[in-house]
Amino acid sequence: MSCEPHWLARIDAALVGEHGGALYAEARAHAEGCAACAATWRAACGHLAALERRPGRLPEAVEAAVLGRVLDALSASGDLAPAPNAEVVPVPAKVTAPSPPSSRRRAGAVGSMVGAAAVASITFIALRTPPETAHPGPSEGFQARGGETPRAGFQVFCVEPRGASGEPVVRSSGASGLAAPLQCDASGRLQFTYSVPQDLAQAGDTAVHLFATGPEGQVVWYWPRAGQVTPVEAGGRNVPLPGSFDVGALHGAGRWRITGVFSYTLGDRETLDALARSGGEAAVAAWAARSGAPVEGAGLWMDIDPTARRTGGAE
Amino acid sequence: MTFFRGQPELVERFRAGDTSVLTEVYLAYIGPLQNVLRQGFAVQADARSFHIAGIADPMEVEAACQEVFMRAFKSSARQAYDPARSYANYLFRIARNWRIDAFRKRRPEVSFDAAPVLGAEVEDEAPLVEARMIDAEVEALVADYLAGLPARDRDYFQGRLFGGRTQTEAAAALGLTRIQGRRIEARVKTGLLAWLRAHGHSPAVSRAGRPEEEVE
Repeated sequence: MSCEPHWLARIDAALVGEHGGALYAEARAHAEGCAACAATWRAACGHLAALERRPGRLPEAVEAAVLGRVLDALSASGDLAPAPNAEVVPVPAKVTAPSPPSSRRRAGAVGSMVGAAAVASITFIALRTPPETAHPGPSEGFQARGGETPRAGFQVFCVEPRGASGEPVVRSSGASGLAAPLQCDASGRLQFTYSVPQDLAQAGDTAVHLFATGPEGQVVWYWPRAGQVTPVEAGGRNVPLPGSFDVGALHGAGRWRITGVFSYTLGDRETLDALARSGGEAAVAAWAARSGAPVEGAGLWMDIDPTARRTGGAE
Repeated sequence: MTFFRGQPELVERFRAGDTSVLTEVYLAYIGPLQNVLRQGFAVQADARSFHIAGIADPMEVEAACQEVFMRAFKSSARQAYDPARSYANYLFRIARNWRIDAFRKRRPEVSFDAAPVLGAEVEDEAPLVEARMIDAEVEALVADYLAGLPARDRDYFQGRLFGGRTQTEAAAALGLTRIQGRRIEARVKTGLLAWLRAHGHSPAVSRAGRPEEEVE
């Protein structure tokens, strides 16, 4: 009883958390129909449970995959809260406006996991309080758990021209910054919004920086654009950054981490790029912190499937 | 478990479908739910007691967890939850009803209308001696494998496995970023699977899940 060797590697990668979304679903679907790989899958689950000191439980990566599928299906069926002010995000001219979630079928959404190419969960690096500014309490900004702390933050949207049902789909990372996975096809385009409570911004020179780090340390920049800086609108909530970014064209295969940083310094891309390549998000966060902007971790994970269809084009 | 006790704001967000709260609920209950699904339970119908067997196959457990949380997180189920009561019981009742539904389809002659669930007091069968020996051997091999890791990787896993740290925390304790910690974790886990296979723990000799069955 055996199977092609590459499936073994793909099953291992899925079960250790290297493959999310479509790649996980593909490996899982293969194992369902292949006796050898099903046995491999079951045995690996037991072995990883032993390593993770969780006897009898599914591997962490499997539990994460289940959560992703559940939230994706509920979101597609309109069973979840809509992303706050998601409607303010302008859809790029090349992309048809999304239809309401209720028009998508739950079963279709579950099935679309096989075709989905990217999975991401967002948290963010954000300002908490400006220098020498007393905390004023809840305001227009994002609320931390417990509703006490206004927070600045980012939200990421993946706009797919055609979802599994053939209709356009807009998926959102959610504003909470927690681990809810974002599904995004490689043919999709990424868009970003930011929120900065009025009392957390430093007038005139608060800037936003967004970039992604690839599995081999490669860096893709979203904002600022080359030769520019990207100041933010103080007090803005869910303010869309103009333009969008082709998921498939800009990102190679593997797991990417999207990081967002606010600073009180208008950093240029060249300076920040050097920091990101040498020290990753920690170096950029440290740079932002030196500007006086308190920061808190972390970033957004995204898996890119190189086999998914691509629409071509860049930012 | 008392996830929502004294937190009406959290209940509101849960009912509204806030994905961050749903994620927290999921993380809190995914482990206990697996126990319930694996354990099986007794149910009374037509003046007889039936044992709905537990699910042992990890692939079936995965599918079952997805189905149960899909049902539990639907808007109608979120609205129906009474926060004065245990969410664990609510979730587990959904799981049991789903299992009973599946059983009913295979045993249409049994009337399960208003059938009381007797609880999960029926223990799953004890693992076979052979399976226990294999488990013990795997544990010993895992220990050997971890002992042979580079110091940094071993320290990372000490933090993750024994320190109860998240990836971010375990990485930060070693001055690493989360992505570096993640890479260590994936590399170590992949290496472990290869290590166990190299030591004879191919699927053929590993403990397989017992088939699902219903017994009266």
